[in-house]
Amino acid sequence: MKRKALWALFGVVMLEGSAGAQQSSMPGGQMAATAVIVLTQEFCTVEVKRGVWAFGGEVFQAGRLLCPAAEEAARNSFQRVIRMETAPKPEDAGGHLILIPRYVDMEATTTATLVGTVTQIEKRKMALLVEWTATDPSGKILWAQTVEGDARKGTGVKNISHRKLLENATRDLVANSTEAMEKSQEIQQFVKTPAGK
Amino acid sequence: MKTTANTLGVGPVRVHNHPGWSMGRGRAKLGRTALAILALLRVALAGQYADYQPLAASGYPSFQEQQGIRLAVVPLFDRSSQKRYFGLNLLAQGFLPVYVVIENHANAQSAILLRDRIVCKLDDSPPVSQDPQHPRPVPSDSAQAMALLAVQTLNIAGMLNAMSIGSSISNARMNLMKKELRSQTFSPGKSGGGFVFVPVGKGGKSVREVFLDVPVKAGPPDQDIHFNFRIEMRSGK
Repeated sequence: MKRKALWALFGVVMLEGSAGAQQSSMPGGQMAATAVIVLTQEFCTVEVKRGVWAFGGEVFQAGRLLCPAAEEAARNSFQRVIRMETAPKPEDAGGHLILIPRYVDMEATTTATLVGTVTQIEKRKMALLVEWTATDPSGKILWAQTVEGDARKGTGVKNISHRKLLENATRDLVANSTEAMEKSQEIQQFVKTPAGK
Repeated sequence: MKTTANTLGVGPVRVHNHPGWSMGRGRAKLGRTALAILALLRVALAGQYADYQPLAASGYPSFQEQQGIRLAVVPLFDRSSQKRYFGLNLLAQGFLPVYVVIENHANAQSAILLRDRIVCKLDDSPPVSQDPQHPRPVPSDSAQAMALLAVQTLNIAGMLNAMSIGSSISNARMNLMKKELRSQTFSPGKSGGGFVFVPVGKGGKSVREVFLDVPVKAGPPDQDIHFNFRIEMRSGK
């Protein structure tokens, strides 16, 4: 228990520093509150397989990008962020809002699309879905929102790789998640309460 | 008429452009252009699926209201509608698409819809009572309860049929993902919706009724309001 509390304190100190740096890039966008973000091992290591290997199937290492992206979205929205791997017990949550991102789905089109019997070349598209849940320290769900990140890329040979596409979709996801949190009436109401601060 | 060099080197050879020949080439060109336009049109149409335009919840026979939260479900049995919105006949693949409409008309409370908490039950037991005055409001004990499948788990083998109607698998899957119902919060005055795909088995012939339990969190108190729907199965036309 002591160890957990020390880690949490360490998290606050480290992340408060980085939150300060974020503030300069997003003036006035942050809520004057602390949020706990739960980034589970499962979320941070999500791998998505699409297609069949023999026909150009791909493995997307989505978790590697989703994990820091979710943290970035939380930092963009809150002045102080504490990162945890598991959801804290009510007595360990320090009265703060708890944010839990969860991977939902991902889909990417291919540059070569079969139209009837003709193969056509078109832009690659990717869509990524993450479900955000915000709870109060007791675990009561205050807000839930599924956020989408989209990306589209050209048809050239260099665009066949999905890495850049995934990066762009994740960037879009950060922007959309930040916006969703900042616009949430339910989160705003909670952070206005003495417990939320 | 034009002159060209003779390959035998005996002087210029006169080549007459036959009017009929010229017209034939023009027709062929026109035909090729038309084919190209047609192909481009098919490309443009590929991966583009119509968006479902829902009515207000109260406009559907399944409409229910509890604590200012309005819900309605709209099953799509029609084959042509399924092809229009999804590019393939989902019912033939074993999934009944059901559109869920939700509106928050409450004054102050928000409504939270968590997609994974929606439960469906299939009743394939023989009919017990046909009395229209007393329709069974809840499924029989033999009904199987299950959580709904997400798009990512839909049968890919079935999706292969999408190719024959002129669309790639990935485009079809992305369209399904974008139209699927999502977990979301409805602040007072907000509305939305999306599709859930109920696994009824190939053709859905053995299933008589589908029961959907859509829980919505609305507080305080933080309790689930359950909206229960009974959908009588029909074969798609």
